[in-house]
Amino acid sequence: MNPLKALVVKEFKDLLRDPQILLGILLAPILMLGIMGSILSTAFTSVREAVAGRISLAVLDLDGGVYASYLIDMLRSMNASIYTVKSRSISEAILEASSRDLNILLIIPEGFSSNITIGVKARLQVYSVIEGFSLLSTIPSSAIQAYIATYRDILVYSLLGRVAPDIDPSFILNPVSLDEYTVIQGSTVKAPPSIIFQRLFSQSLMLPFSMFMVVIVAMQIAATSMAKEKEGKTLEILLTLPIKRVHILMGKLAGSILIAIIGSVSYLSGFTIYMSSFSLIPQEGLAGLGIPVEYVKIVEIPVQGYIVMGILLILSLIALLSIAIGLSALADDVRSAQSLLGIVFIPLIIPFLFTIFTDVNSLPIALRILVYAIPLSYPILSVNSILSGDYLTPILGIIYLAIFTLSTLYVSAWFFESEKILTAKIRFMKKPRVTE
Amino acid sequence: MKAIEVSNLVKVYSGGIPAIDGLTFSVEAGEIYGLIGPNGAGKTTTLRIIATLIKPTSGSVRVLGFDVVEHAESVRGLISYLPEEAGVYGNLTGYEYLRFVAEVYAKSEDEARSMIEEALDISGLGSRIRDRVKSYSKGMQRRLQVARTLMVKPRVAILDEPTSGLDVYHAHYIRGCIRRYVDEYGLTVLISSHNMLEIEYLCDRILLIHKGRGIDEGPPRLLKEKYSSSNMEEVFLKAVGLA
Repeated sequence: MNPLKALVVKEFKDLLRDPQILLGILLAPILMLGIMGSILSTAFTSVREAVAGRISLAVLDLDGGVYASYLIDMLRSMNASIYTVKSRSISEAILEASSRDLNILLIIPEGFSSNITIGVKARLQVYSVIEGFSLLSTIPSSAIQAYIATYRDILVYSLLGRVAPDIDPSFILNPVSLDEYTVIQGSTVKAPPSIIFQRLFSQSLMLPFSMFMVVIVAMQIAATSMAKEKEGKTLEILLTLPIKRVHILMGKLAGSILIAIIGSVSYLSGFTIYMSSFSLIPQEGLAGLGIPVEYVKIVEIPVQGYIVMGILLILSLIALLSIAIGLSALADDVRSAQSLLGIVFIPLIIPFLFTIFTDVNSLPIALRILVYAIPLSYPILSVNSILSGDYLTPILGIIYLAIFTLSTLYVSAWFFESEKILTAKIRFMKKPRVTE
Repeated sequence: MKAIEVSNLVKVYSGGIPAIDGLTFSVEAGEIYGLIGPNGAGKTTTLRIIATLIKPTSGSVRVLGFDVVEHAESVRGLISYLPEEAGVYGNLTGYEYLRFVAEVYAKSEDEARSMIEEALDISGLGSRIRDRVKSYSKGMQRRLQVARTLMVKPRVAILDEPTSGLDVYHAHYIRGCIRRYVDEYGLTVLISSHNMLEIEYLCDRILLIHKGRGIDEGPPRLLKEKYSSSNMEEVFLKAVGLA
């Protein structure tokens, strides 16, 4: 029989069935983020359908000229359903449109056509009737804007063709164009850096974020698992079983990592559902900026990069979980263990923030040393290092982390051998004073 | 070889609180040996030191010849310890808990299975063994713990208040199980209890402890004769000079 396997199975079952862990860490993220994402995507989908669908509007033509007819014909040809109001005043026209459930009223004022003919800027008016402020209520007016913009372009081409038939109207409209290039690792990509960053979002931000989540969740679970043993008075028995004390530590590490992986998958699944709902927002303007997929491949993380990151993550996980378990063994109950752990979380957030907002190498040397002293810095910062082709820093990180992790394990194992593991009693919630 | 040998044992907790002050006693193999004393006398501390949980300040403790500090791991392979307040993993079922402990002790699957069968018999939990432990009453949890302690047939069982929280019927049944295990498997049992009836019924010899020191030692019958007392309560009070 294998005592270590028995321990891991026991840890896994006990933690997985803990209501706090099951609900708080495993189910809540996917449920909450998933539900939020689903609601948002339903909303965005309905918006998109509304945009793509047939638009209905009321038109009050006070002009009756040739350019007004062009406009109405164009709207019809673009599949708009048009109702021509009979009223001649604006307020009555709005009421008439509303009575037919039409929320958009386009007014072509008197003189519209004659103004265009003599070269004076002509005006159109659009009245939107809205019942509340929501994303949906803005859609009809946006759609009308797009129709009018098309009409304007047709008009410009036609007028320019009349005035200067030898000149390409698209040149007049846009005489200078800008081609932006970004140079990454010696390769040139035809796109601005912001677009590359967007495309690399999953690697440069989601990957560090996932690692951060795995570590934070695992530490919470490990601390809970240890503190539960003490609070539930199961530790005393566990420590007298014929299992090597270091195996008890290993069992807790393995159990916590397993649960944390499930927890992180839940979190990231929820997060992905949540984020994917935003991709449903209509983005006609942005569509043209998309860059071909092959450009992104230049900055893809190679297999050896993932291996290096994996080693760094596992080493820092073991080190930090040993610290979490050791710290929580000092506490008398789960709540105190969580409070103690909160202190450790503060320096862990630092490398994560640096990844998002700045480059750690641009920091003053003292601050850089401080950041690189934190175990979690290595897996998180290695993503950008590897993306920029720098393998030296991650490999030095492996050496540093190996030493750090071994030292942490040694100290934790020593602590597990001592009687302090049983007798230490840090309690954050003071017992109520009893007055006699 | 003695099953347990305690000599000049001293334990002072951090903060200078003395718990045991020069305790010496030994337990023969196959014997049921009882520790009697009021709260704070040092009984639990003594049991915890023998169970390798805490370390002595001075003096020595040996279990079947192994020093509890130098050869703690070897000692853990020989003992089975039941603390007074033994917690259980509430999210596991009774069966899963027994399975976990059996897998830690057993050398083969067959041995693990027979351990669990023994435990099912001792605990008397029946079909409830498949329920989560947190749904058990205190008495059921205690029976599960006694079963867990005995099922591995340790060379030395260390039992701190084994029947605490049990009703008369179950307490009687558990005492019978302890006796049977000693007779059938030659277990040595070190027991601490406030229940004088239990001590008289179970123990071959007892040690009276007061303020971390051993006051007197012997078989219950002889101690009663020595102090001209009808029960162990009186024996204790007379031994410490309170009666």
